[in-house]
Amino acid sequence: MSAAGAARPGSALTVGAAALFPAPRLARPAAAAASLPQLFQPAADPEKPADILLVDGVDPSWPQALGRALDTPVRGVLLCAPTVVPTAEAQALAARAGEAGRPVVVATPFPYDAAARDALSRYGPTDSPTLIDSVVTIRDDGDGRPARSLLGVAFLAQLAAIATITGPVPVLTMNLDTEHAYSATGTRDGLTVVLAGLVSSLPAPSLRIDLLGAHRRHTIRLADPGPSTVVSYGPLGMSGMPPSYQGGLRNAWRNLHAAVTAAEPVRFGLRELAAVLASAPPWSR
Amino acid sequence: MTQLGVGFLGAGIATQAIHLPTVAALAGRLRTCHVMDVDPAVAAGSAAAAGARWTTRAADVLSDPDVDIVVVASPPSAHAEQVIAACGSGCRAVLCEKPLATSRDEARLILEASRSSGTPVLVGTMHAYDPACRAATAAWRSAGSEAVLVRSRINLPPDDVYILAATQPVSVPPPWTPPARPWAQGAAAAFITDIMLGLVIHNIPLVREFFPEAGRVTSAATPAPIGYAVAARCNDGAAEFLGMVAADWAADWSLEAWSPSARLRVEFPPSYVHAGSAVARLETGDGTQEWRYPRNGYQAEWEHLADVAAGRTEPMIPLGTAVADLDFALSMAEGAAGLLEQEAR
Repeated sequence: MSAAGAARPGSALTVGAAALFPAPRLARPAAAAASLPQLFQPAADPEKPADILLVDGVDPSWPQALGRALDTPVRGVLLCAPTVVPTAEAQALAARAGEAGRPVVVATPFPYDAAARDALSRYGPTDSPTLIDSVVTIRDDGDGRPARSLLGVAFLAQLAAIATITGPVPVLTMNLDTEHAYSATGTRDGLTVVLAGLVSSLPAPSLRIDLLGAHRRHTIRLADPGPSTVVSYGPLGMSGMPPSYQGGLRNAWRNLHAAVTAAEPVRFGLRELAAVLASAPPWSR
Repeated sequence: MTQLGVGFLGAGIATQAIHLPTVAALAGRLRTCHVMDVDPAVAAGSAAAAGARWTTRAADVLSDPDVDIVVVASPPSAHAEQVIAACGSGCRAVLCEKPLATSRDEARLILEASRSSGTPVLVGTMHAYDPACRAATAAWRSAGSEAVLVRSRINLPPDDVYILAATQPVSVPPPWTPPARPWAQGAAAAFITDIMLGLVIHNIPLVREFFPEAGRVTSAATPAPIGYAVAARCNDGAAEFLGMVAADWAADWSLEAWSPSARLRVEFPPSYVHAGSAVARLETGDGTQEWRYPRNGYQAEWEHLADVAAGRTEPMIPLGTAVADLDFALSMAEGAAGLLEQEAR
């Protein structure tokens, strides 16, 4: 490992989850943490508080779970794939975590994906997209989680992506809003966004986003499992970076470590989540 | 096998780039014998390439005893009158370029003319004849999947890149200049109607495989420079129509349908070119199936038309279905135009 990628000796944070949350739901983020062994290690001593806690966001009661996590002497929290909750709850938690100086990283795919950031970096200020077209699918594993909660996870992931790309999300009109699927459209300042989301039993859920403008088009696909791909069309033709296996979850963990140990800013945290929730149309749970 | 004569009413780019080369490729069964266009140079140039007679009068084609199949490829406003006249000419079959007509009344008159004369009328919705698309949608139906979301996406570069890959045009049409923005009163509504009847109409028969009835249009937008985004609530799902014609990027012409347990994606080649069939993939819990054939939608459409004209089969897509396709497209156009006008006020 290069010097730049190496963690400082003794800086690994302990991660606890099993005591508070059922482990199967957290298998993916736990595996991502395990892929960063110099930054994170499992909490071995159940008597000793863990540095980091994982909170499963699929359950609509995640604000209460996160509140309980913040009641412990935890140094930071990874909120994984949150579903839609009232904005006020997220705002209150953001204020509470901020006052306590405990970073909470919201692990939602787009803001933490290296390929997505690369795509955005290719967009100049003069060739902004005029149409954003996105479809997100989330897998129903048949483990009893309500489809509507899963759909809420997909919706927030998509809104977080749009907010990362464009700033404030346009006011959305729901074309379809059912237990398993939604379709929404919004227009603001010359930008139209068309969003669709589905709960599916098919494997390989993904978040696909097409950014279209007068001169450029980017097609971004974040898949689970990866890789993430970006294909861009511009005046010089088509280009694309090699598929990226540096998934968003791994980068979210890195961000959390840096926020806890080096006071670096959280790229997408509770404040950003609350802003996204505030832009969402009414969402029945 | 008897060779059938083909006569054209209108020799614009669709005739030159699509139909004449396709008919030529089926030389054993079809031959172009008469070409009409209001522009004598276009008529003469197109006919010369096919070794056919030319004229500037539709009546000359309709009264030509060698013409078995009449192709109506004139501007849409002339379709109804010419299709009805063709039905009365004694020809064996009519192929009308899309849209079949510009109003429901015109479509009804065409239907009456076809029924009373017994003349089969087919509409040139080539994607509906695409063998890969047909195989995949049939597999979707056999799986009993119910669509909750259907998306039609048509992102294209300007047409000329494909026209020049498909023919040597007698005359190159001027590039389509988008209306100036901000829209003048009524311009957005006119634009979305043109888009629905001129571009999205290609995919309407496919969308109707999943949502036969037009639902309520819930949103409409016209992103710059030449884009559209229309969504409608259909049955218990949504249909979305998205597209943009802008830069020199790769064509992205697709239809996607989702149910909670299946996903269908059909990627079509761009218009004009002969590049084989679409690539269609159906994902279900049992795995992924893929279809792709050497034959494209234009070839399949013409081979079927020849069979219909020879009396060997009935139209795969009955005229009543084509009329319902047009009704669906008009409903989408009217709904979208209404929303855009409302927004403009």
